[in-house]
Amino acid sequence: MKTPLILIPTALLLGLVACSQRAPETSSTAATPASPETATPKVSDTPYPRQVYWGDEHVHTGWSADAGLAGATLSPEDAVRFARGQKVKSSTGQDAQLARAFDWIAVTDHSDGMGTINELQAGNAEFMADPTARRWKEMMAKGGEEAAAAKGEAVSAQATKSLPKVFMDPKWMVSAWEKTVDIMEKYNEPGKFTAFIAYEWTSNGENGQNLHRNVIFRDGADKTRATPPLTTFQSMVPGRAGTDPESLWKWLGDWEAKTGGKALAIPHNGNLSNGWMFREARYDGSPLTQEWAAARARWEPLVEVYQYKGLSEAHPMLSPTDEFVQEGIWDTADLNGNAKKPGDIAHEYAREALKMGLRLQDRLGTNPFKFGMAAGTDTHNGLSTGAEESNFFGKFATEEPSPHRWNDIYQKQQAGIRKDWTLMAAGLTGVWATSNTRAALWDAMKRKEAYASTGPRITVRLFGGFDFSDADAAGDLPAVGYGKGVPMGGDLKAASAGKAPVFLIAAMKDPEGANLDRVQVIKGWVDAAGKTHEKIYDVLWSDNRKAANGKLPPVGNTVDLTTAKYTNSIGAAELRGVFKDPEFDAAQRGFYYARVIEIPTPRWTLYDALRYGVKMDKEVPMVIQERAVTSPIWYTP
Amino acid sequence: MKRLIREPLLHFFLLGALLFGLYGELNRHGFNAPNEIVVTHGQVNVLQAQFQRLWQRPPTPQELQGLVDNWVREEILYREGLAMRLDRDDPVVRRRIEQKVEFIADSALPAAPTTEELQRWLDRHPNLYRVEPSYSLRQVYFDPARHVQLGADIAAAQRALVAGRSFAKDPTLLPGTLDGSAAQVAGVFGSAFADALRSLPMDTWQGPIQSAFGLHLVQLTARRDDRPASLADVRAEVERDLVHARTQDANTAFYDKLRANYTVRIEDSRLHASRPAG
Repeated sequence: MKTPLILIPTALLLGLVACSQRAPETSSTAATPASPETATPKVSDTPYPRQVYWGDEHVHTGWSADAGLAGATLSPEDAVRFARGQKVKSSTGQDAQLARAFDWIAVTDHSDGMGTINELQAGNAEFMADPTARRWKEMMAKGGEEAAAAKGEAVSAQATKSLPKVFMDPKWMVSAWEKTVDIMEKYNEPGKFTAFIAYEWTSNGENGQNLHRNVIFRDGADKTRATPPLTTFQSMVPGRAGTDPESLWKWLGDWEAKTGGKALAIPHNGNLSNGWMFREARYDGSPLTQEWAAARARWEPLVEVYQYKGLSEAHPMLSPTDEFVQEGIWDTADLNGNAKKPGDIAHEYAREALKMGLRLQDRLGTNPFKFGMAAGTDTHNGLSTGAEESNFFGKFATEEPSPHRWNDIYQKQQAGIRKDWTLMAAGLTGVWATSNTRAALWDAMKRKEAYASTGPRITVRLFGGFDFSDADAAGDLPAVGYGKGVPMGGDLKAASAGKAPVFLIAAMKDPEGANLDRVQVIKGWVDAAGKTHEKIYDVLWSDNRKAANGKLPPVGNTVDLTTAKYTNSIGAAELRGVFKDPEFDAAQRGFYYARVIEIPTPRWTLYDALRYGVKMDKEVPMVIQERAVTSPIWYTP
Repeated sequence: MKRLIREPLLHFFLLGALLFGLYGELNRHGFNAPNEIVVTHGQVNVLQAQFQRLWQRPPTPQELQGLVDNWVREEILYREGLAMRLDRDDPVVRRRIEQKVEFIADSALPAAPTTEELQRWLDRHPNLYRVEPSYSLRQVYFDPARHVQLGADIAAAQRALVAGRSFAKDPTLLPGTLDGSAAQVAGVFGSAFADALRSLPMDTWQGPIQSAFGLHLVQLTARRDDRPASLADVRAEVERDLVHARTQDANTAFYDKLRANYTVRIEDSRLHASRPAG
């Protein structure tokens, strides 16, 4: 029996590494049966979701190529420790700690080039042999604007498929992925803190159209560790581009079939997709099909609507009567700075897509855009601080706190320069789950019993049914809500004669935050001619305000620009009531979701202005109205 | 001796020696017949597994044939290249081998700390692991906006609670009972409310206590004061932190030890050879 000269020892070596590597990891896990005193008690689930669990489904660390290029040094382990409330040193050497820890996190480093950037930082020879990688390394070493420019080039190179070959080699990626999985296993503590295993599939379309998806697994290392994440450098569907989301959906289906695990994908930043995120065509431009619609609806139950790079719930041009849609709009370019064409915006925003989905259902049999709302930061420095305006660490390491960051250039775009002050300190997802475990949280996300907040931990309940009475709003709301109706993310079937949907709504302020201005219900529907419509109802509000000409007066503003303080002398701590659709047509398909608006509070720019004693340009907003939007309830006769 | 067993450098050399021995044993025949290539079942399995891991399906027979053909070609060119010493000074080969060394070093990191070591770490950092107070409570909420005579209404409610009579309560999403740590209480009612529980008399209906939402009558049915953690309370956390700290120290120490065996001279007067930290 002859043995090949080289390969066997290599395989052996890797085998040994794999075994010896795993030993210390398992022994340091909380659930190790070997040490009985630390055995994790079985987590019991409540009969229905009683608690909302807060977390960030979108976090990058120094292991993401663009993040590393902009100077991020933190690892996934640092990101999880930070999310759990521990103090860490930021990439620029500043102490960073959350005021309030999260309940869960999904670290979503880019699969394209995953793990390569640590090699680049180390300045190793293989990377340095590539002239582009070498130049980026030099720019990074200079820090500041140069580092930011290097990051910009990397994003753009990835988008235009001109990333140096050395970045695309899967051999680097496997180890980074395995290490990521191991870290999440170690920090995941059922009942206490959930660390999802996740990655970001980063398709920039053909030329910078943002089609990114965060892939979140329900399972642990046993199902996820052996499969390296899908990149856009390879396509799972013969004849289709690796950047085509159909490649991802195919991969997800194959992965589930092979492992018996479960996964979902959360798209984000439709606002930077130049009309591609909710396009009415497949990636290659061919018409949508029934299979396409079914796959999209199956794999993508949530869409991220709030994050650092803008709010994508709705757009002022699409919703001209919406008073609360001006804030945080990033509509000047795609990811590479390419200007938008007329009509692009109609295919980028969540509300419009929800309406479009109702219309497409007629043609395709399935509503492809039947999704709920999520939010995350998309931080690229490992520090998820979007929920805390006074503690904002910026998106990239180049945007960590400094006197000048507000005025730094985020990107030079065709349409002009975007400055860093336009970044939103935003993005936290609330999940109504039966326990704080991967399984319970993931299941809630899958059934869309989750909602998006720009940061504050506002509690929102939304139930829909045909039999709710006014008295139900005064009682034990979840008991009545689940008993007589469906929660957010649910479906209402055809109404019986004379009935109209009634919604039971309650919103409670963040216990450490600001009072509430109002609760609105946003309705979207499609008429018999196939035309879509939307209407915004002010349903509940504070301070006994009287509407004049159908318009509720503003709640006021208590923010003191000289101290960055506000008072809860206006607004309400809790708002609750029922809403019955006054213009209901039982034949028309529609959806309803709630939006909760806070009273005005200081924006991160105001905290910066006072902290550093800098005077910012007039155009820089100093005050914001934070908000939360629930996942919709659909009416489908 | 215990220290020696956990010495990363020792692990590294032992693993190296083991691999060297295995390599020699397995390749005895290979050295005897340098121009023969045998594609073993094991090798076919490896190729198949690699394909499957990427594509999540087994290769078709044609694809498998292609994989094997490609492997044989690679093997021949690889051997020829080694004979020409093309592996020397190749950045890809350098990096790959460096990575393998790092992996072996990583795997030789101190394994699970002993209970004594965990206890020592806990003793050194007691404030990091203090167990916070926890409470079991019942509460009745009063929304100031709903009461013209708030004080009188609260007093009446308090009498009703003591007498066990029912009365109309203000609607709220706040839970009527809660069982949890101070942080969990603060997460629901706000930190001012949680702080007030520290010194609240037990068992009887007390208050009103101010929260972020309004006023509350509160009955504490259990209180566990904050205290230094025992290892049993926080073992998992202590272990993570200790291993985290050790990993960082060990990676530095590993390189420093190797570095100490070398003399480095840099032929550029602007630069100097960095010395190991230790």
